[in-house]
Amino acid sequence: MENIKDIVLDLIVDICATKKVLKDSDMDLIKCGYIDSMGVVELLTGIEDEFDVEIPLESFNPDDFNTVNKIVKFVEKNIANDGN
Amino acid sequence: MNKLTILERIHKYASQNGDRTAVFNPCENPSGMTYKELYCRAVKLAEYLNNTVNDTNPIVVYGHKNPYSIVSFLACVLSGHSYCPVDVSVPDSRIDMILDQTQSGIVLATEEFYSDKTGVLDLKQIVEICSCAAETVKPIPKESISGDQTFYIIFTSGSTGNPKGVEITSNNLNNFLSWSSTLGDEKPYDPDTVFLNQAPFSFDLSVMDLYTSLYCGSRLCMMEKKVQADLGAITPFLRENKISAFVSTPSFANMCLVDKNFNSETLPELTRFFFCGETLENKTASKLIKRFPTAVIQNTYGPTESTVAVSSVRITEEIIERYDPLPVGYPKENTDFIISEPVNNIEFENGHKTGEILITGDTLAKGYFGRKDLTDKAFVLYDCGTDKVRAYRTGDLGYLDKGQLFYKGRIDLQIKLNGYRIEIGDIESSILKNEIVSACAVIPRINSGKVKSLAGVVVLTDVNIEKSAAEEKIISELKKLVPPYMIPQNYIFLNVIPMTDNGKVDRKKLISIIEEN
Repeated sequence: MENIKDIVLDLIVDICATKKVLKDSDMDLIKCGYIDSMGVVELLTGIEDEFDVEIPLESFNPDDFNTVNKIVKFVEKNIANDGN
Repeated sequence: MNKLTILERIHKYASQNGDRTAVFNPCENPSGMTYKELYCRAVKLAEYLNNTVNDTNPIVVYGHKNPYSIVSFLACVLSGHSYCPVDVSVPDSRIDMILDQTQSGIVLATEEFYSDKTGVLDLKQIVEICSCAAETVKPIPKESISGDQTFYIIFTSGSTGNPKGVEITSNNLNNFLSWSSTLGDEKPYDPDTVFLNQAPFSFDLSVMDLYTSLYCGSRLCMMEKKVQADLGAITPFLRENKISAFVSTPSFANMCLVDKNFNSETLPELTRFFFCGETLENKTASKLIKRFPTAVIQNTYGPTESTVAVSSVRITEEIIERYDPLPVGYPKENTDFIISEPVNNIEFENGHKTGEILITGDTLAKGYFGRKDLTDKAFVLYDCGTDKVRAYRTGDLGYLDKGQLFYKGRIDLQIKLNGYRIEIGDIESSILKNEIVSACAVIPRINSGKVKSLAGVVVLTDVNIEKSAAEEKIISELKKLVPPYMIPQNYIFLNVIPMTDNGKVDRKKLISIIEEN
């Protein structure tokens, strides 16, 4: 069974259209041009669909969502809160 | 009232209930203008143009969402000039290409702009001229654009790298508006309707909100791009400004849907949605209906060359259930769809004849500005047996089912990315201008039938150039030539671009090379 991290990484690679983003998990994806605002929307929607969870926008801070590590952490936190 | 043109209507609203707000941008100060102010200032600015501009060439209006942009559009047409809207996102070199074609005697700029090709009237000067506007509503000037004269020119991506200007006449616009003003007319428009303007004015999607709003005497609320960039700010903006008619691309709706507060409880005024510009996905439509159960949702279709849109369909749960992808609707009055054979064979899709969509009707553009060669290729005389009729070749593939149109993709290398129309050749020729590039191809990455991103395949003039440095150089040069959405995010470097037996770029092979990476 895939764990949360693997699913999220698959999603990020799919949206950024390259495996390069996995090379540096602390690279700022937005600054380096791997993802734009439309991509962030896709990622959030993808996470909600994949994990059947609702992400309240109030808890969303773009600064906590711009590296692979931060995104994984964000998902793990929100799933825990949802009681899944 | 039905026969009145857009200019006559604006004049009427200025005369009768002139103190009603016509257009506003909450981020500006002062934020808006009344119908009377809008019209009288436009007349004043038109008088200035008559006195200073000696030709009738199209006038470029540069800016973003300042209300004086709209004053400028109207001033141009009231003085007998067509206008060409250019948004701040367009790079200078592209604006130069446009000015080379329009030979504008002046540029009206509501944001900072400099040109060495022609004189520029900046915002301060425009406001000053308008401050002397008359108190009384004068009649519409006799030199105003009317009939078959060009009202606006919208430049779109050209496959050779030179943008081409679609000329829309006064008749085209008025024929469009007499239809668009009745769309979703289960809830008709009135002075209290507030239309959302999301699209920049250089995209003709904005014509749907801007002019439909003015046509109906409603209020137009302009949302700047900085508000759109902040996901959490969008719904509060819609709420505070009591938006009731939402006009945008489906991509923007997806951005709004991220906020759980984007729903009918938070936004009770929002009762109508109009989508155009790209495919409306079932997923998006489904979410929208859940959030706004009683709203009227219209999916519309049409190229810039037939004035914004020519068909529409109301999207219901039943339709979402029944069709995937969703239909794009029935043609409006005085418009017809013809499915003709594409360059290759006639395809049969579920028993439907699929071919190139041709459009005939009263909203077909005059043609491409100054480009008879392109015009003659795209606007043809179609022989439908009994008669020959003028038709526009959309380059879109589709089929008709009981009179309703379904869109099935392109026959060429034009794509839609988040609603933006892009010719692949446009990007490729721009990349090729870079001295370190000897050959290139741009491959769109498609997921579930929608273009998600762009990849650039490049052959460098010198194989020893370091790849990440090359990538940086390509991107920085592209930023000067094309708008941000046309810049590929990912780059692959090859020694040679694979070709098919016909000597064309083997795009299928490139797609598989990219997948491997």
